[in-house]
Amino acid sequence: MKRLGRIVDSLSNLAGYFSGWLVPTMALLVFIEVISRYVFRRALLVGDEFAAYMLVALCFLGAAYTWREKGHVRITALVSRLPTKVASWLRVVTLTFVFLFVVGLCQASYGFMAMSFKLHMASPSWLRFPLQGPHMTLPIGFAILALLLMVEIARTVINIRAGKGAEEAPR
Amino acid sequence: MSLELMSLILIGGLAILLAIGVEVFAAVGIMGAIGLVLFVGQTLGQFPYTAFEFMNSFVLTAIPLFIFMGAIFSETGIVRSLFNAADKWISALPGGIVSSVIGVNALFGAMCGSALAATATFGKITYPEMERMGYEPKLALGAIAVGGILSAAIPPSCILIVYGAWAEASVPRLFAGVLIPGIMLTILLMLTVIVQVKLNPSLAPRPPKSTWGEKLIAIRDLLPWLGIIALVLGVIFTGLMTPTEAASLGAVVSVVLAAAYRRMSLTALKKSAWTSVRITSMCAFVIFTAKVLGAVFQHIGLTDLFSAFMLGLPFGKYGILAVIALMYFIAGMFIEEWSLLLITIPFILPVVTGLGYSSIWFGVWYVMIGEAGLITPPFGLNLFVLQSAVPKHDVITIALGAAPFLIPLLIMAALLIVFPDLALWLPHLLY
Repeated sequence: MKRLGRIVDSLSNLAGYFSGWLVPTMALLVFIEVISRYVFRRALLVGDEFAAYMLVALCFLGAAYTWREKGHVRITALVSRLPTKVASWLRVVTLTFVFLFVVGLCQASYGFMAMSFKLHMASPSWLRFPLQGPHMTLPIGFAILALLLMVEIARTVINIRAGKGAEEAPR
Repeated sequence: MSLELMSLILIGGLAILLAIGVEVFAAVGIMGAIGLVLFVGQTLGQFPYTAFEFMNSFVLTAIPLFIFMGAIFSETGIVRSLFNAADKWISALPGGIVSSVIGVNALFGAMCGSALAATATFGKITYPEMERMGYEPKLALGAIAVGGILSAAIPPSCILIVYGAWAEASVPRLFAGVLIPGIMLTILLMLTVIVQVKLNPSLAPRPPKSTWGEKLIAIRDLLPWLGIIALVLGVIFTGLMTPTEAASLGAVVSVVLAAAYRRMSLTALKKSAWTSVRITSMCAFVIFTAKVLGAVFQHIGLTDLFSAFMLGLPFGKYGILAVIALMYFIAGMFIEEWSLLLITIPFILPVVTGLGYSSIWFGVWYVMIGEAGLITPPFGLNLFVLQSAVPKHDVITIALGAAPFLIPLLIMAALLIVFPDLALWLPHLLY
């Protein structure tokens, strides 16, 4: 279990690290596009399109990292008033809800990606860029998030059994 | 199944999931999935389709870039020079550094679109100084917490970018629309500090006087910052660049400025990028799940029903808007402001436009009323962000300090209702 946890943590960090580097890359790409248009009087016409693909990638590949950093907001006004044991078990239930939903997203986005491959989907711009790459970031991001949630559920249950409560700090 | 029963299941289920602590994106998504499968007869395939279609957007690309820009200033610590320079001019006002915090937040807001980033930054930078000088903690912390709101109320504003993309409203028009109310809010917040200090002078020590020599040096130090603000907002308002292009320019200039101050490092770059990923990814998940739930509400006819109900209330235009404001104010205590906006747009926007207000006006108005939720307990995010930056004070102390600043926010929201041109005059003039 510990080993699986470490692997999943590394995986989400790796995806988060990659997403992080997309931000300055995106800034540079759009900036070069602007410079090219105003200084060299020649638009590259690729910056807008690729920056948007990078946005998709950073949002979904960065999802698990965001979860680990407690970036996804939730309301704890009520649960923080419950006895620790009740709140901890309730957290297991809520994590299970989130896990099941993300598994559903994973399956649906896999179908979306498979359709993209099957139909050879491409962008409507002059580039006709194949969309399989950007589409692929969705199931990958959801899958890493689902794995992370699975590990978090297991960790929470282990913590409760060891007499510790699930963390209920406001996010 | 009747519309009433479907609505009860969806809204009741959402309320229960949120109350038991399910993450907002998942709570919204789960109810969206239930509605999609049971009431619309579609599969979950709508989620990835909506997620990709909405997020594959050049307009939304501005969000991580503006957050990155603000985070660079914060992580490298160079924003301290902005504060020190502006403080030389503003701290002569009653309230001293507390007034400066508000003023500098407005300047920082013109470079950073995230209220949370601003609050964390100024909590770390200014509170220790205020504590050392003997400022009353509640006043100081309240001002820092509310000052962060100016990052949303002064363009560029990330929440307005999301709103613009969702409501298909022009982002440059929204930025132009929020500029005058944002400046007015800054003045009202500073007046709130001044009134508090005049009524109880023990709240703040007498401000130290800066010499004219110090003030002139401060102008020199302020120039690069004013230059960045003029550059980023100037290229947007003149139509030379889109908000996303201006954000990329700002991001590159922020790195160059940090390097010029010899504070740029790889660690700061990485931390800034990760801050940007965290906020953008969180926002994306709420956006696409709320988009699906919104489509379900629309499909079953709930949004039309709600709109007809609200417009049929016998309170008149101002009364209906007061009801909506009250609803936002109360809901803002429990739901984070971006989620609240995205969940409620499908319901509220048709009502607001039905009352004769434009979508630009609503975006600006929401910033004033919705952002109040950032400083109201039990779920005022700014309160928690500031508490983590200043752990020796509890959230209640910060919330009590921030409470008087709700008055200028509500005044500004009321002024916008009575004088909608405050938000519409500049967009009409520029575009």
